[in-house]
Amino acid sequence: LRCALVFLLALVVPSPVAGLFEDQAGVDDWLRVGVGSVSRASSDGPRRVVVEGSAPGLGGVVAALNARTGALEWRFVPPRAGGRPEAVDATAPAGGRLLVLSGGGRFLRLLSSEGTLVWEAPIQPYVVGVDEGFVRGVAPQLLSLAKGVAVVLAHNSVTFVRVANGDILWQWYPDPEDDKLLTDLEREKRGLKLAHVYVAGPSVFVAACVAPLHFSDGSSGTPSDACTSAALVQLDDANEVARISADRKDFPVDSTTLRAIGGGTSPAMFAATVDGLGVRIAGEKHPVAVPTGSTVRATGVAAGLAVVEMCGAGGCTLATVDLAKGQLKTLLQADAVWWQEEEVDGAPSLVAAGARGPSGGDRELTVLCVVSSGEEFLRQALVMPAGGHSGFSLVYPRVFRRRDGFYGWKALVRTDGDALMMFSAGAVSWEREESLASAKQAVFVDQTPPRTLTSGNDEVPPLDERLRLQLRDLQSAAADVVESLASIARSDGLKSLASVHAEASRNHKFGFDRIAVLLTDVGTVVALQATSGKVAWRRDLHDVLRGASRVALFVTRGRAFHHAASEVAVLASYPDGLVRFMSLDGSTGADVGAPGGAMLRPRSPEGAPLVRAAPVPGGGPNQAPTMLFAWADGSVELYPAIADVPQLYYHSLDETTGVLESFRVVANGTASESVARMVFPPSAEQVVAVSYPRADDMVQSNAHILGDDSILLKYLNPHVVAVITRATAADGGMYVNVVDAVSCRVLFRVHQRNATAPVKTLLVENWLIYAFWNERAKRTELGSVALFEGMLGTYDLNPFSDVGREEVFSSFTAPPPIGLQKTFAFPRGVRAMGATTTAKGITSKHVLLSMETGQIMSLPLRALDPRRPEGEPSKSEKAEGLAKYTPFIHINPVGVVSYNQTVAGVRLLQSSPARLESTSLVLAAGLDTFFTRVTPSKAFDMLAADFNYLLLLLTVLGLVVTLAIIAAMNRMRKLKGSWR
Amino acid sequence: PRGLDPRAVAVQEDPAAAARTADKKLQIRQKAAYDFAMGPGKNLFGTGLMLWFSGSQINIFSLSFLGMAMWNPIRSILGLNAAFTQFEGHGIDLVMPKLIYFGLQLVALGMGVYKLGVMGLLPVTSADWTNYLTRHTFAEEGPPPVL
Repeated sequence: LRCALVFLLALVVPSPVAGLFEDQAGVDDWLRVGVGSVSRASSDGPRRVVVEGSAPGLGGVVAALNARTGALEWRFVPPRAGGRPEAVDATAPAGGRLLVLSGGGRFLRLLSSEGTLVWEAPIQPYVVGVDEGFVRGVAPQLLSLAKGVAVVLAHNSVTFVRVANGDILWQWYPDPEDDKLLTDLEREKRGLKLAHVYVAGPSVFVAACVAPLHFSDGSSGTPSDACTSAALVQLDDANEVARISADRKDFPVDSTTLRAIGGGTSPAMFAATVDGLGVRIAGEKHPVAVPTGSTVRATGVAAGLAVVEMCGAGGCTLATVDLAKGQLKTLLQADAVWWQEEEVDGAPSLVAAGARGPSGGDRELTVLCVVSSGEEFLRQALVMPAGGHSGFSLVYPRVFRRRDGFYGWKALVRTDGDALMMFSAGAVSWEREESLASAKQAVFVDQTPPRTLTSGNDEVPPLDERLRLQLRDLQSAAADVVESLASIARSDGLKSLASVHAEASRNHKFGFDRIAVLLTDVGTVVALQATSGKVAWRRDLHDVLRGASRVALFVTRGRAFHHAASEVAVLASYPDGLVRFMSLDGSTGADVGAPGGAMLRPRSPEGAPLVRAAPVPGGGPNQAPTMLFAWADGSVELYPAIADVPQLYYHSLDETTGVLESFRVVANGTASESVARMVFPPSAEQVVAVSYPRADDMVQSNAHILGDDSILLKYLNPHVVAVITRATAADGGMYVNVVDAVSCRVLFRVHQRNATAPVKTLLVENWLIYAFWNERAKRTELGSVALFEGMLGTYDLNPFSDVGREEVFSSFTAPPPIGLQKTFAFPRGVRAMGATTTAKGITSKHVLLSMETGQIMSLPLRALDPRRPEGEPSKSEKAEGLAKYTPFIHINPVGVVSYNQTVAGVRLLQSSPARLESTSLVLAAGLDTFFTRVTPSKAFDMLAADFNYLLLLLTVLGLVVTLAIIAAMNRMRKLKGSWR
Repeated sequence: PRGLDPRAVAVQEDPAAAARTADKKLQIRQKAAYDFAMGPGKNLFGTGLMLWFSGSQINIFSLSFLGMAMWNPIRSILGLNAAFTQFEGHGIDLVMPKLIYFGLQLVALGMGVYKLGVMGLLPVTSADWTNYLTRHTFAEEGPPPVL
């Protein structure tokens, strides 16, 4: 009985419905967690690599990767201090934990072995009397001492911090009261610039250079990295200055190369001279041949031995220097070298790697290991296949003793295209795509391969071909039905296989299996499968796009058309006016046409920068557009050329001079003439943001229906451009301008007081949404502008009425729209904005906001409606769903499409329609890449994933059985009645 | 009594009385026809009450009530002649009753139509004809730039 009661209770107490069930998380969405562009790596035990990366707009990242699989174990992103990105300066292991110095030496943090923050200590800068320029060029340093103390060299001071709790034990900075030498130097208007900290036994040595002081008021000297001589400060374990020794003789050294090196209690100093002609060692200039113009970095491996890296135009040389004799011995010569001090098999050693080979081609990677005696004990070279990657920009080699007693090595490699690879045993053991952290554009294309046709490149295949294709589609549909039926009948063991097939089939039918193609700042094009987040293909165009001033990615064919696959195009413009137009196959990334793309150039022989490139719809073959290219010299080219050139316009916007000029294409698409011009005067305003509407956004209705069934006519002018300008006058703020780019007329303009950057803008349908920082209220605000052509009363429009609306819309003659504007306070900073798009534009629009907190929110456009009434809404407004205006937009937790996940460093939000009208595919890219499917008006055309098919089947069966029973009973009753 | 053939008994009828009886019968039939014609009028109040109570929201109850309120008058109007066959062949004038019956059914139908209007199901407002709004064609082609 108890069991029955529990069963009944379980039936009648369903769990409360939330925005997303736990088991639905990760089904329709995925998250790729990144570490950014890796600048340094260090090992944390044999199984873990700690990497320091960076992402644009976010600052630094510290992460631990599994050395065998490349999987992310943890990641720490320093919080933005004062709204500014905080770069990571250095890390140091401290007893299984990790010390992280960031923010230009301003913050020291201790992370546990799981990456959680243990403590945080702010390091006060002590640049006494002089300005920041004095210490410029000195990278903050961090050392972890064995006795549980960390040493930080930053801002011309040395700080000792207790690792256990983050207490600052002691801080030393060059104070004229400390030492007579410093007093003398101050009198000479010179000071010590601390360059390098070195620990030897109980003492801490600081290599410093004597440099002219320059004060905050600019009273002395000019900022320079040049120093007049070098000094060595010894701080003993009583935390006092034990000794300061300095050359009294002027001997210019480069502060960035100054190092305290060597072993024992009296380390030597090392510095390259400013003229690059020698190496200064232990106070004496030794004539060592350093190539002129080369940069020098050095470290010490043992007493009396230093290792010097000299890089110049001809490549890099890594050499050991005998400190006593000043003799150089070349270790390695390569295009680029990398090295670090590391304990190998218990002995302090120098592990170095050098790469040689052409960028984009196969490279020879040499790894060698030098022990403290200066002896090499490992040197191995291996040719790495290029594999589509450009050059190596970072190699972190590791040497270890293998189980068989021999030494083995691994190398973590970052390519110029920001891919992170681990080379192990002569092969790539794993690869991470980290260029996505600098993604700047994203587009979606279909991945369906084109149909293979026997006919040639005809636009429309012949009848028999079409019939054959129809037959094949029919067979495919029949096979799908058979497969679906078979999957039902299959045993449990095959169920999962069947469901995977069904899932793939469903994703394909509903248009969920698209490919997101992203262009990054480092010149890579990466395609991700929308269903899984896996890299479908990648192209490293780093070398091809080198020197380009602007690069853009766009779709030229969204889906396969007959024999032509979907296509994306990469467009690069170079300062001399040259334009590279590359077409890539959307499903494979292969070059379409000539490798490297087509090159176009302006007509004038001296060259002119490209002003504008725009696709002219329907001009090219197989539904690909013809491209319009316009240069500053007035030359225009339509590529590929078309016979009937429509009346084409383009515009130029010079953000410096504020000139917006419109041009008409003339002379059969070869030249242009100016038709209109307007100026945002630089004396009054400065352009800060420009936004265009999406050309592929579908709008179902050009009318907005009100509660009383009257209609507002949306202003759907495809030529609108939103230009946000910063007012340079005393009252400040920003101007929000909506401009017609063809006629150069300002359609709407509003002054937003106290508004400052950062500004994000979004043009969608007849709306302009913009986010900005209100410097007075100290909060992020969202502004919304809605533009309308006019209004029609409740009974004004019917099949017989004439509302007097022009069919042909001309930018030059059309009346300006009616603009409504309202501002809302938003509780989070906005990093990126986007809008949902659907196949037919019937589904309601939502604005997608990526917030500083790493959340992505889907906000109904209606919440930002400038028509929201100030007072109580009228009956008609209520019927329309307009709520009373409240200045605050609240974050609805159910509207957070990233649910409890953090999507860090989002730079762009891009959406794409699926085949299902209800669904929009959303991609957020940045340090992390997140994809999800959103249904702004709920999934009205699709059964929920947890739809109870069994219950439906049982209900139908039950009804059929009941019907049969009732029919039988009815027959019997009739029969009985007949016998009465 | 048994064996009496009624035809054998001649009854002298009073012609005046017979005429009176026939007239009375006609009047009764006429009245019945009028009563029948007024029948829908008696239901109007009930129908109205029913429509009022069903509310203006679109749901299965309001729609089924509305369906009934619309269908019954239409069915009655279509079957108007059939409904009055019971009164035919007695020489009574059915034009007026039929007109009244038809009028009252129209009133009932009107109530239904009014209800349709209240529920927003009649395509009379601008919102119902937005597809008739002309879509602009653009005199100038100025596609959004990609670079």
